[in-house]
Formats: sequence, C-alpha cells, structure tokens
Amino acid sequence: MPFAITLWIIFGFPLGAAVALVIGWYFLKHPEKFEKWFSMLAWALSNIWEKFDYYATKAEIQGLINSFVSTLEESTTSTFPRISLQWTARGKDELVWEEGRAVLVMRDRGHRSKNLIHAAYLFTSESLLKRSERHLSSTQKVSLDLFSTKLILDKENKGAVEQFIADFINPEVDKNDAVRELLQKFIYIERLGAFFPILIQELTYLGSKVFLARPSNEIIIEVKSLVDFLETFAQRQVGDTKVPDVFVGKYMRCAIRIVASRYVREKGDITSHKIRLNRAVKDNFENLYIIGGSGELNRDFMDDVIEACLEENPQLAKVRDYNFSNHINIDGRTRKVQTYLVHLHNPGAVKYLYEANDLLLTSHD
Amino acid sequence: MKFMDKEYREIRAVHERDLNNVFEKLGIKIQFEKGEFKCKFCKQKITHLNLYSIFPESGNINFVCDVSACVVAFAKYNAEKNRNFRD
Repeated sequence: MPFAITLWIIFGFPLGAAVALVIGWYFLKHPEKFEKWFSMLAWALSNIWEKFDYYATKAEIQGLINSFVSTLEESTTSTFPRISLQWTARGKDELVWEEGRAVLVMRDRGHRSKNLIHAAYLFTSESLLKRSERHLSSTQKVSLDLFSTKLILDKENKGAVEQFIADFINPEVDKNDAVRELLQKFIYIERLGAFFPILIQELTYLGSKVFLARPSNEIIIEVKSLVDFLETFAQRQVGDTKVPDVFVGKYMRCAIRIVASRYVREKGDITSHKIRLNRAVKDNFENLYIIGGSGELNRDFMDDVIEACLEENPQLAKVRDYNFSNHINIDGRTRKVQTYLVHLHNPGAVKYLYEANDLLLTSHD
Repeated sequence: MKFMDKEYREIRAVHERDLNNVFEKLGIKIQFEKGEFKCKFCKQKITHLNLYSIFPESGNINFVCDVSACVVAFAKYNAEKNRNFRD
C-alpha cells in the first residue's frame, strides 16, 4: 500500500496536471466546444437554481452558432463574425438600448429550439452575408438566409430543423415560387458540397470587390447566373464533359477543375491537368476549385498537379484544402462519396474598379 | 494567436421573465398590459407570449411578433434599411 501511495504522489499529480493543461489548452483553442459543455452543466444546475438558465441559454446559443462558424471557416477563406449574446435588463440590471438594434426575446427551458432558431436566423440574416447583402435581391437574400439557417440547424441541432422548416421555410415557399426555385437549386449545390465553400465564398468576395458599385440589376442577374452555373454543375453526370466548369461574369470569375480520372492517374502523367489549370490562371480566373476523390492515391496525384501549377505560377496561392462528404451523379444514380477540394486563389486577377462594359475574359474551354 | 483575431457580433437579448422589468424601465408597462402595442408588420396584438423582438427607431418603440413571416419581414426590413443607409 505505501508503494502505491508513493507511486500516486510521484506520478499522479503531474499526470493530473498534464491532463488538466491539455484540456485547458483545447478549450482555449476551441471556446465554442467549452461553451457547449458548459451549457450542458448549466442546464443541469438550472434545475436547482433557476437563474442558471441565463448562463445555459447564452452558452448553448453561442456554442452552437460559433461552432458552426468555426466549421465554416475550415472550408472557406473568409472569416465570419462569431456571436456574443448579451443579456439586457436582467433582474435589476439597466436596460441597454441602442437606436435600430433589435433586442431578442429568449424563452425559458421549454423553448430551447425556438431560441436557437431565432438566434440562428438573426445571425445569418444580419452577419453571414454582411458584405454582399446590399447587392442581392430580396428573394436571393431571404433564400440564402433560410438555407444557411437550415444548414446551421442541420449540423448543430437536428431537433430544431423540423420546426424551422415548418415555421419558416414552408410559409415562404408557399407564398413565393422564386424562393422555392432558389432553395431547390441550393439543395443541389449543397449536395455537391459547394454551397458554403463556393457559392457563399464567391458572394463574400463579391461584396469585397464591388464596394464602389451601386446595387443594380446587373449584379443581381450575375448572382443568379452563378447559382444556375453551380446547380447545373452539381447535377452533371460523372464523365460528362459538356457541362461548363467555368463561370465568367463581370464581377465573379471562377473555375472548377476535376482531377479524378483513374486512367490518367495510373499513367502518372500530370501534364494535361496542369495545362488546364495553367490555362485558367492565364485566363485570369480569380478562384480555382480543384476537386477529386479523397482516396490516398487520387489525393497525392491532385497534390502533384497543384504543386506543379504553383511552381509555374508563383503568384497563385493555395488557400484551402480539405476533405468532405458529398453526392455525385453516376449513371443517373446519386452516390455519396468522399471528396478532396483544393482552393487556389489568383490575387493578380482580382479587380476592384469596374467600368460599364468591363467583361475581360473569354474562356478557352 | 489566431483566436485573438476573431470578430464578435453582439446579439442583445432579454429573458422573457425580465420583460416586465423592460416595460417598467421604458414606462410602458400599463399600456403593454392593456394590449396597446401591435406587431410592426402584421399588426397583431403583442403579448408576453408572442413577442419576438423589441427595437427602438426614431424615438418609437417597435415590436415584432414571433410569426415566422414577421421574423422574415423584420430581416428584410433591416437589410433594406442598411441598403438605404449606405446609399
């Protein structure tokens, strides 16, 4: 027994301290994870002392939304604001009141889903597309807000999705066919895994580029064309080379390149893929999205192609690479696959001042 | 460190149990209890149970009910206001 105690004294304390440090470091790097755990504890404690539900509600909403923002930032190059929920007029506290700023009413523990839905919708409608919202039509904005909120709930609280669809999406779809059509397109785009990584990404870039432009029908039509392009691409059959894989607008220019042919990969010849990428760079495409299967062999092959392209185009920046699950159309059947996406950004092609007939590009594809 | 760069957007919230406190501080508790306030968008009577948001604007206190159409209309209204403000 004394030996066991000696062992505990020698190893137990340092081990405990090391575990506490690792957990502390992890939570410091991922505050939203801490908030999720803290909210569970606070909900349990609120059974004993009701006022703990202030902490529980705040931590739960911040944890879920900020966790989604963290995931979003892994698949895009943009940064999005996180939320900080601040109570006002709590108990005897002063009412903090600002002209034009909404104060959201939060319900008690019996309405946690409703609280999350309201906070998530406020977040998407006021923060997610902050830079580009003034250039979108009302229908585009509402549809993007609804679909983004659904994706937040899908990922963070599936229980709230049904309520959101019944209370928010269905009534909007019933009264506006344009919203219905756009949501249908977003579903296809999301199946490809391109809703946030490409569509929202491009719209965020758009907001940064057209800061001098007045909102106009021209931009609204271009956004519509981008959505149509992505939807058509998302529905393409694997192997169909007739579907356009480049989008050429006045304000947005992006190319999607697929590197997935087994035959070419097994030959080990990167030349044809490299030439196609180089051509897109030469054509001044701002963003190149290279996608292919995430199997080790294909991933290595894609990395070789990209490395060769980066060597020949030093101005190009590899901004993101990651794996994700998506759905593709093989012989008319939808299959779930694992995909690897690399996003290359061509800063030299970005333009900030536009003139009336400013369409620079013609595609060679 | 990267996590220091994160931008936070504040969402102001009031717990339903503090609504009376809010109305008292605004001096509108009696009017509220009499049902004198309507939703800015659908004109439905505002109660403790259907209140989604309160927002001050040009010296007035506006209320939005929790019917989804009004929540969506409120988001559209804010987007439109921002658009005009920036123009």
